[in-house]
Amino acid sequence: MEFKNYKPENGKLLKIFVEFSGSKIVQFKLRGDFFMHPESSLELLEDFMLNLDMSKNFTQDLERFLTDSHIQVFGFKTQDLYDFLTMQYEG
Amino acid sequence: MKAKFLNTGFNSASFNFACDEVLLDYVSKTGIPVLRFYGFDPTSCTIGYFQGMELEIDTQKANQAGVECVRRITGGGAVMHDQNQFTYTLIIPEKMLSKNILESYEQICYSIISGLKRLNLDAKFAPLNDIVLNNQKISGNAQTRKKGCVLQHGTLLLDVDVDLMFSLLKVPDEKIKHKLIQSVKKRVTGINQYLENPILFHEISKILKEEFLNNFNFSEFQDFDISDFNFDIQKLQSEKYASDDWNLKY
Repeated sequence: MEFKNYKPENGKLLKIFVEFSGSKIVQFKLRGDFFMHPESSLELLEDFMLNLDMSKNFTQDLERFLTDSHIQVFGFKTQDLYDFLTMQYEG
Repeated sequence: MKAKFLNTGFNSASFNFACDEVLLDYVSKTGIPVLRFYGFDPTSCTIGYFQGMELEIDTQKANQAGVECVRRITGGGAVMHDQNQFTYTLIIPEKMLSKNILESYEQICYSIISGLKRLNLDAKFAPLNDIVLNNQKISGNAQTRKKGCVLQHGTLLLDVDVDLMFSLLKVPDEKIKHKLIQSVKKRVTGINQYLENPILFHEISKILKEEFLNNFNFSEFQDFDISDFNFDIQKLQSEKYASDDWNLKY
């Protein structure tokens, strides 16, 4: 499993493993020195990311998921994830 | 409101984090805040809750050097803890702090900053979770909220050995390791670099205990007798913090 490093501007260092099938995410693991409250939310987030479609409302869907699940993240923004995943998706 | 205080001295990382979690239960049940001061011996590497152990630490080298590697319950980055650091944990009912996590970091860090002012060190809070002196990091802090409590622990660097740190922590790109080490040496320091006479653990402890007491308006600190909890700490230490299930979780 190869994790790629991504350091958003003013953010923490993210280490991400991702695989796509077409424009859909089929594998996603997120590691790094960020903060997430509650901590148990990481698995929820990773599960939610599966089957997200890069060509559809990615950031809005992810934003809504975090809000609805009362998850607070410090160290990256949804747009940062989108930017990184877009780079990976577009190769 | 009264609070409890204990200084557990220098112990292993697995002991220290087991101790924190047992104290978290205590605060959750009693509503009485607890402040603990401590250090790490043997030298240890700890990683943030969301980090991958093998991604961050050269565990083979660490094992050979007798360095314990442990996952924290808090987020943040990998840290090497040696005996030249002062470490604290404050556990306090959530209602006694700002609901805003960023603000609460600053509330707690203020006691470190005001303590350093007494040493004529003009330290500043650097969001999200650091304290800097002359733009160099001297303290990293991490927080979790569980069971109605805030647990925040943090390290104040008295002295720092960046070369030892980078012999154990992995770097994103080996080709730029030397450059990275030079950069960290510029960005991270210990407070003793700025003091005429090096400050000792017990001296900084005395100052910071007073600052936490004053800044949180505790009426007094009562000594916390840890002996009643030794069994629980040892159990949690062996079953969780010294276990691969926990430490290699990610």
